[in-house]
Amino acid sequence: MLKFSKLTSYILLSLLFSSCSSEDEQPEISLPSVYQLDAPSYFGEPVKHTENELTVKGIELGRTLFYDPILSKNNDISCASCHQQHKAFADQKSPSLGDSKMHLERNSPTLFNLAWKTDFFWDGGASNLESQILGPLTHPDEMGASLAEIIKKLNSHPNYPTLFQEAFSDTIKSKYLLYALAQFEKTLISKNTSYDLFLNNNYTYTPQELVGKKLFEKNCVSCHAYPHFSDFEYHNNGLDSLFSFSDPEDVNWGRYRITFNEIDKGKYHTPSLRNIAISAPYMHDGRFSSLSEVLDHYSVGIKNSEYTDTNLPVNGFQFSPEEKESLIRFLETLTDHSFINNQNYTNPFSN
Amino acid sequence: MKKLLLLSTILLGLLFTFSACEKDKEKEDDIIVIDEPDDTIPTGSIRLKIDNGFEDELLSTAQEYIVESGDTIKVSMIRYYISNVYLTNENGDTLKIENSYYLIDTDGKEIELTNIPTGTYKSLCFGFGVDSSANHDISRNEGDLDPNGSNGMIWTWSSGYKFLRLEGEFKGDTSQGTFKFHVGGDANYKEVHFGQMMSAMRTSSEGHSTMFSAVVSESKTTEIHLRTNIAEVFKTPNTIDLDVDRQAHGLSSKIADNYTENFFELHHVEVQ
Repeated sequence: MLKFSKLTSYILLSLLFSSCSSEDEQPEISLPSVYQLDAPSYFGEPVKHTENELTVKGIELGRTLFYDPILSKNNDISCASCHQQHKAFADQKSPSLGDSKMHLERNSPTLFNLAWKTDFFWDGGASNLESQILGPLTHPDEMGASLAEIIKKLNSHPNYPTLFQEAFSDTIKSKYLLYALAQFEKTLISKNTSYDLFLNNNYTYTPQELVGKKLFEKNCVSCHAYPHFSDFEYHNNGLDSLFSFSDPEDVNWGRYRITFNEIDKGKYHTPSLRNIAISAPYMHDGRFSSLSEVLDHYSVGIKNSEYTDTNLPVNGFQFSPEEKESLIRFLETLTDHSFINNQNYTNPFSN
Repeated sequence: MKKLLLLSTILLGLLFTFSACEKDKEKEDDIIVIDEPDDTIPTGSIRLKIDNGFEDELLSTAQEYIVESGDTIKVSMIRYYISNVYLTNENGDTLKIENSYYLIDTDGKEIELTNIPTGTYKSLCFGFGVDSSANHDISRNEGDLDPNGSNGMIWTWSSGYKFLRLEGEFKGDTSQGTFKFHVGGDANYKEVHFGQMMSAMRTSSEGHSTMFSAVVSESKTTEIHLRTNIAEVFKTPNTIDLDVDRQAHGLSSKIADNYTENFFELHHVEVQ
């Protein structure tokens, strides 16, 4: 709400000033249109892109583009097709389905708190959000368009040339398309889970949630670290034990296909557990459809190999049914209802 | 025609590699960066003309060639990036060509470098591939690096450029079919250097003879002709056997070693 009012006041101010300057022929006054992310200090410093500074206009443009199917080859899907707000910007398909209607090799990740991440994709192949966006836009089984086609369509659209001009003071270029989308995505901030409220002394856990929290802190937090519920590292969590594929680019190598480092076989990025209860399916390939299945995996299903993370007990965590229940209750407290209902993130075309 | 215009000695098959195009930060002040014309100094132009070849011939996509391993190949496409072009004159002043990222296609490329201060240049240096800074952030790149027109030279899943795309057909001893070499990754960005190492580019590699000379004169265009030798991709120092190596892990670094050594040849320099 605070953000929304700030945004509105910027717009009002800029209208005010622009009308003044045209009437009085004053030199153009540059307004502070730079946008500061609004997040708790315990999140740490957000990562800044070298060129892509967040602005009110850039974010607005990014939000419009995010929801506009014009970016896909057949004008039928948008980023929001696989990144839906009520699912914390993931989807519930296993695995996700793109423009070609082929099942994808990866599970749609949630989108929030991305400004604190240094690399992207399940295997960490992209080292900034701006560049990562190129992947789903152009992948033949995702949005399937070429940047040349997209830019052509945007250029012949009645509004986009002006919107790009306002946001970047330039004509439509590939980089501004990626910048605008990244700007909007960086404003997606989940900071009101029960855990955040608890830190501000505004939440009291139920006894069962507290048992779950203790179990979480004993067994899970080393990778799903506070406050982001991820250590932003890569781990082999024993989903598979055989890593032998003829193609060096096979997706099932995990992080190894990026680094070609032996120890990275079967490693994937630790996903944040914020909003985890509403973002099934789970794991990089969406193989588990419920938190119960995930906990069963960690409990008794870990496949050991020389690449399995040594922090995992060889025989699994052996959670009892009661412990599983308590863990799930705790994980459910990580659903951020204000995030999934935040009006700054909704589809601008349906407003 | 060439004879009339010939200025420099024709130099064939000369290539030296160093790791020093721009590494020396202490000497960074000595490097002149040209981004806008300076009217006070006389300038000329350089046309960097790059052709693709196989041994002594210009590449033909219709022709079969025999590579070092004995396999027969037919090249359907070769594309690669060069970046960060540096020139050093006889006084040791190093000139950096700003935003010099070029995609070279099968048919070669002519690169126009304008506003080059007149003088005799004794060294030419550039990177093969895309330096890590540009490679890690595709989003901000324009020109030949613009993902809008990069001709399949980007791995979208790993956000990096393919430094080299070499594709075609092969007939080996035990197998035949198509081959696709896609090489990228920071470790495979290599520097290619012609001529004398000047003081501004101090390096641990010393003792190489001066075999590059290009005079830039006012209002004239100096053409520097480079030619690649695709045979070298399969040859030095790593022999690539298509029967066994074409999808092997570690192939990229072997090929990168090969394009570092003898892949580019200085064909000749002339003034027009």
